[in-house]
Amino acid sequence: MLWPINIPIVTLIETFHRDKRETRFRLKVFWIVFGILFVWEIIPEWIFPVLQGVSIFCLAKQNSLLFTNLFGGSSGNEGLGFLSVSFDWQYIASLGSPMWLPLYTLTNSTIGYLLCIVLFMGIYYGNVWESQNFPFLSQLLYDNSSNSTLFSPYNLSLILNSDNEIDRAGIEANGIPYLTGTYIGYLITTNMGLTATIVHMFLWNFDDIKAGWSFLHPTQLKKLLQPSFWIFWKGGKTQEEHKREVLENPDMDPHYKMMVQEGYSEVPNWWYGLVLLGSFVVGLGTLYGIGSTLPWWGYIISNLFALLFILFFGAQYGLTGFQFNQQPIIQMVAGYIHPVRFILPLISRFHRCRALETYLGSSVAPQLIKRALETHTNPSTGQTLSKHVLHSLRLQWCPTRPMALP
Amino acid sequence: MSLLPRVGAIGRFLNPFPFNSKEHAFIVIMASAAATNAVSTEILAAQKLYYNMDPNAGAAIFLVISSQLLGFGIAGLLRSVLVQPTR
Repeated sequence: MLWPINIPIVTLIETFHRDKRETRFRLKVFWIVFGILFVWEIIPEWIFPVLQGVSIFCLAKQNSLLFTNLFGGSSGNEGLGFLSVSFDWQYIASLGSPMWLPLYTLTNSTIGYLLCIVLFMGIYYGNVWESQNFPFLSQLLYDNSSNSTLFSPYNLSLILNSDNEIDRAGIEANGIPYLTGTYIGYLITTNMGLTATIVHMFLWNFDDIKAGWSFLHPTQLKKLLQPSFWIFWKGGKTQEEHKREVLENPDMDPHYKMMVQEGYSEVPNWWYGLVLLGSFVVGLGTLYGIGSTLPWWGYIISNLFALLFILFFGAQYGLTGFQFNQQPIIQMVAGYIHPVRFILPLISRFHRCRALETYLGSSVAPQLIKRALETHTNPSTGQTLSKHVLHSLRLQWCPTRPMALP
Repeated sequence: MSLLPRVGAIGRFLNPFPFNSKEHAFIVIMASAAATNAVSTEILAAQKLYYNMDPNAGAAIFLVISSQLLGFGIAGLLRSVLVQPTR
């Protein structure tokens, strides 16, 4: 996997630590750009924030809601930002810098953005789901007394009882909450994206991810019955076997091959397994400790979701640099499983966070592991940092090949 | 690291060799792991803001740590799929 997000920082570290004569030009460019941005960023960040998003169309016609909805958008939930110009690199690169995202990811994102404009404008101006009674863009819940001039947010405390569960009588008295039409459009397309991702991965990247469930294969399950499997600290592959396997595999990351060649030892799988098991148990304990209303089986389900999502969306993130927002589906599933407690998934902050956080935490983790790999950091240093110092004593910086590109 | 002392018994123990790219990578990894927020803190914030609950500080710390490590464990087990192949 490419993990495009790591390319800039790895290149930077490489350049800093190579022979200075080799990298003089690169460093010069870096320091010039660094100096310019250091001075420039002060202006759009603090002195003149209007530069973050300049829209000629909005300036030309300032009192039109249609123009604001379509062309505005330098502040959150203002508009779709069509054809706006930004002078703030922080703002441009915050959603995925065009400097390192692969061209096909950028192209696909642009097509998606154009379709989004069509969809959102169609929903709002076609008045689908009474959209015009609510704001154009918003993620809040609204009361049914809202109209196109006055939006009234839903008062959640009126429908919750003392156990923070949904009170049916409260809903009947106050009416059901509403979402904005564009947000519903967003939720529907995101849910379509979820299944689309999984189908896409099965069709095009099956070989890449099939190892993710190889442990379910009958021969692997048979191993569970043998006592030698459970004595995990003995047996298993020896260092030499592992080394040969890695070096003979043509699809293996060349950086990893070099590390194995140099004699770095790998973290055993059971160590990660122990971390997983330990944190699972502690997490289950804290669930009751902080008074969350999530039952134990809901916790297990959300963790299974996390496992599934890490495999599919992690692979997608690693291959394309595109990070999928799986929050809506988590909300929806949680709302469906626990209907009494949380009638609308938006209220179920606990649930969605529970699985989401595990996912987010983990989407960072492979990225960090990859970063360690690309910079030839000893994989077992998570356990023993001091060992690394000993290693760097023995292994001076080995000459590196260019980045492993697919 | 030139800021750390290099002389004396303590200096030699802490800082025996010149700063190299691996140490640099470690700093970057640690800093970026600390720079991203843990989503689990949102639960605690939501409890306080919307539900008028005050979660126990110890339980809250364990919640954040366990949720982060849970993902780390899963990702670690999947690293032969997600990290090591070149494709």
